[in-house]
Amino acid sequence: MTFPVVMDKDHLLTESYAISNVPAVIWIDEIGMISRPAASEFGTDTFTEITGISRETHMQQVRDWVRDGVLPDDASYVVPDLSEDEIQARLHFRLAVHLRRQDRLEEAEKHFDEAAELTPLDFTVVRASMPLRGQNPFGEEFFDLYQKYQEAGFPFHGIQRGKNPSKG
Amino acid sequence: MEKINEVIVLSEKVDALEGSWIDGEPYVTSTDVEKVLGWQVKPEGLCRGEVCIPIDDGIVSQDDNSLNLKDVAALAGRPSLSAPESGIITIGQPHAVRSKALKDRVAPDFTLPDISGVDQALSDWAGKKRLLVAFSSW
Repeated sequence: MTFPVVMDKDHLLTESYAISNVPAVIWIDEIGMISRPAASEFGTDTFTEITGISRETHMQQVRDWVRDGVLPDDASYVVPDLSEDEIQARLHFRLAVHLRRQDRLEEAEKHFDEAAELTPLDFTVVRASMPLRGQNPFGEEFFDLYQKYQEAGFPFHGIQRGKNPSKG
Repeated sequence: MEKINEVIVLSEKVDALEGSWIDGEPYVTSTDVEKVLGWQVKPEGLCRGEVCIPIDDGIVSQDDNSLNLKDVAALAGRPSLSAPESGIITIGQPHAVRSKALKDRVAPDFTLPDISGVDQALSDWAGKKRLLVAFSSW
């Protein structure tokens, strides 16, 4: 087993895989087909009390898949496509990141704002921009975001697990 | 600040093209359309391999035959965002790639650098089961 770590600075996978929060774990088989779409899964149980998601349950499911090709019931879940707003927000985010790299901070801020207006609950857009805009991703802005996210019922492009289990 | 006769294109890469902004939309040459989108402008339309999509006349500038890159991208199934004040058009991933991922379960291939700057592709591990973990340290 290998564990390459790659950097997706422009968030291209949030577009091609419709990812809207992390962690998101996607199972891909030998011929490049998605066996189980995006789901919140964790490598540790640090957040289990908050999320209701256990590391071991996922690891056991992965073992069953690797050994016997058995898939959990929720693997058939169909992830909804991105909306136009979600697509445009990703483009505003990407543009803002590019402008920031060039030190064009005012222009960057404008597009971070537009992205957040389009998708106020998308973590890959809103929370990801926090450290890039001098905000604290574990600070007040984050807790505001999390509260709104909770009130909205944890919207997520993927299988909703733990406190929002999906039967697929 | 930005050069007027330049169109910066953000796609999987960054391209600085000669072109112009007309009514807030970017116009570039057909050669550059192919460079950026991989689609070729031919008399029969916008072509890739055997596939050709008819081009509406409105996409072509009357002045110099340059093409509206936003409209051409849309024809090629790519969303975009024009920011004329910054001189930049950002072109998104093809709709079809995501649709195939979500509906047909075809995992989009990608190539991204690891921390040493070495490109790694999902398809480098074809033939094995793979866990794709999207993660951020925030």
